[in-house]
Amino acid sequence: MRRIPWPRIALLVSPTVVAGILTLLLMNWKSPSHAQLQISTGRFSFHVTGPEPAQVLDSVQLRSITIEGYSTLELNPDKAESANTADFSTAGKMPESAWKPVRLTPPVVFKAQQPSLEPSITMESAETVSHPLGVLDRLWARPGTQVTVNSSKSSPLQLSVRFSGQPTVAILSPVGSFRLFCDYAQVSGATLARPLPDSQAFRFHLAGSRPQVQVRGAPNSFGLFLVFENPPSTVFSRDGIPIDAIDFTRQTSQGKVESSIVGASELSYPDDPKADPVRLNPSDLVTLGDLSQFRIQRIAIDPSTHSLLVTASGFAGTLRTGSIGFVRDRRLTRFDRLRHNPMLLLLFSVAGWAFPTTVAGYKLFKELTQ
Amino acid sequence: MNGRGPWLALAGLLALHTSIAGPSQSGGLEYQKRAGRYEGIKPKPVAGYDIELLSARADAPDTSDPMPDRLRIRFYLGSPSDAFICVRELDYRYYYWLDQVQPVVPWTSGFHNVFEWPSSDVLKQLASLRMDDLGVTVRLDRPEPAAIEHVAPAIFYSSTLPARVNGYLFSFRLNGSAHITASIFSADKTEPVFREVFPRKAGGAPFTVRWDASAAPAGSYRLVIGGWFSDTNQAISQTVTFFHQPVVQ
Repeated sequence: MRRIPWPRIALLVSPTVVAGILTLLLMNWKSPSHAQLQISTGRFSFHVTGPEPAQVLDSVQLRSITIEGYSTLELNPDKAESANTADFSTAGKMPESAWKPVRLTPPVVFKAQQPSLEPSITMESAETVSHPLGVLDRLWARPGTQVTVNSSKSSPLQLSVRFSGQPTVAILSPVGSFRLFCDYAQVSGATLARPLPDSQAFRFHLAGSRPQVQVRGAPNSFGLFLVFENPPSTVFSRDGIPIDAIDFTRQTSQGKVESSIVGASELSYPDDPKADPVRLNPSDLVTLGDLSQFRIQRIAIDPSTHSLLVTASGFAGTLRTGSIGFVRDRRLTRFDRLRHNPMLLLLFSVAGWAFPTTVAGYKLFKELTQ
Repeated sequence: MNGRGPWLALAGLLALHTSIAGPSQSGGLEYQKRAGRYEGIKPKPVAGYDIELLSARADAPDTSDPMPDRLRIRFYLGSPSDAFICVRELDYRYYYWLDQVQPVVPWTSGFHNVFEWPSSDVLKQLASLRMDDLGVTVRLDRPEPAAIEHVAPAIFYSSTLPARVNGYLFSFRLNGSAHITASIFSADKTEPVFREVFPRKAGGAPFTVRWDASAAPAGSYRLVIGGWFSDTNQAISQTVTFFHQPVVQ
């Protein structure tokens, strides 16, 4: 009986087996992918990284601002009046006679009471509700700051930007007289004739020599709620913000966590332009992790829907998208990269040609020399 | 030839595949059933409210430690009834949520209703989260938010139980910027025992109504939040009924 030539069969099938295993391996081998996100969202948060503070907000003109989680607010007025908030009519207006002069010993400092009271300050122009309050200076976030941005559909445009993890300072330059409403604050530098209630109303005019308001945020959480008369062309930094985490979710009143994507969005691969971009629908989930060299390149505001249009890119070690229950890993495989890289494809083709040709050549050489 | 070779190679390939695919989600912070309650970080994959009650607490700040090892909630009931405890962040960063508390003994009348849990399982692992960042509601009759809420204000503390309840903190969140008036009425009375006007409140920001109840007699009260949204003039209405029992015993 003739023996089965196992070694020869093994030699014959080995290129197929090796190629098969290699292909299988490459098709399952996912590694950090260079991804670009273009997301339309109502809320997102990110964690600032890098060696130095990153500019988050550009200089913007505001209609009004509410400040939460502050530590102190300091200003140098040359004129101040106060009113009892109980006198505010149901139309939100205060009769001129209700405003009483306040004796000043500047600076006037508002210090927030205990955090569980959620102390807050709202500032608006004293002229008319639609008159601009003034300008909020550029705002920077130190590395390690968690920033959460929220946009509301209401008109006029309202945005909230919350900083936590690191102390943040905001500078505001009001134009003309402005009203200031504060809840649960201790006030120094202004003497009132009556005891201060929990909710207070002031009207200030700042001295020309120091026309700014300085707000120091509490390190734990500092929130700015910005109201704009018209959607400005730029609100956020145009320099790019280095980040190491980003999240597009929100929590409902029942505690459920859901996607904050509200419009057509896309995930693409800058290094692999031939790879099909992943379309994301509203309510689809996006999970990114293990980010490196990741930057928010642009945050724009859709003037019609007031949604936030976020463009960010970098390398992501975790990259999943999809609807609940159908979330897929969207990192590119090594096979995808091979498929979309002409140079690597050529190299593998040459290797694929060279191996059987060499084996055949060797066999021919052996037969000729026998 | 050793027959285990191909299997070892396959196992190696599988192990390689697993390591390439990355580790699975793990850790003990997920929202899950724990001893006597559900607690944790809600998984990342409803209706919105104009105004929602986030917290109804006795004004007894426990400042001994920003996040003590054990947290306790104690509340008063006039008679045995269902009580639905919910603990959440007033302004969420971590999606922390605790609810579906299963009491060791049924909730009963008086101030004997206590629920306590360790902060080490979840809360202490959430960087910089403090007791002050948490809101507590003990809803009676139903667990869901409603336009008219019936609550038992919670004493939220770690170790020292106050002897008296001298005030309350009610925290809410609005869906938009608004002018708000908060009034507290004694049962069946039309004149408020407390009134505070908040001319400007930002949408999305939690705000708190503080009532100094040191002079108020025990009894049923209702907090009425009224007002309107600045952009639409739509009216806002929320009522919270509760029983004020000043002596904790």
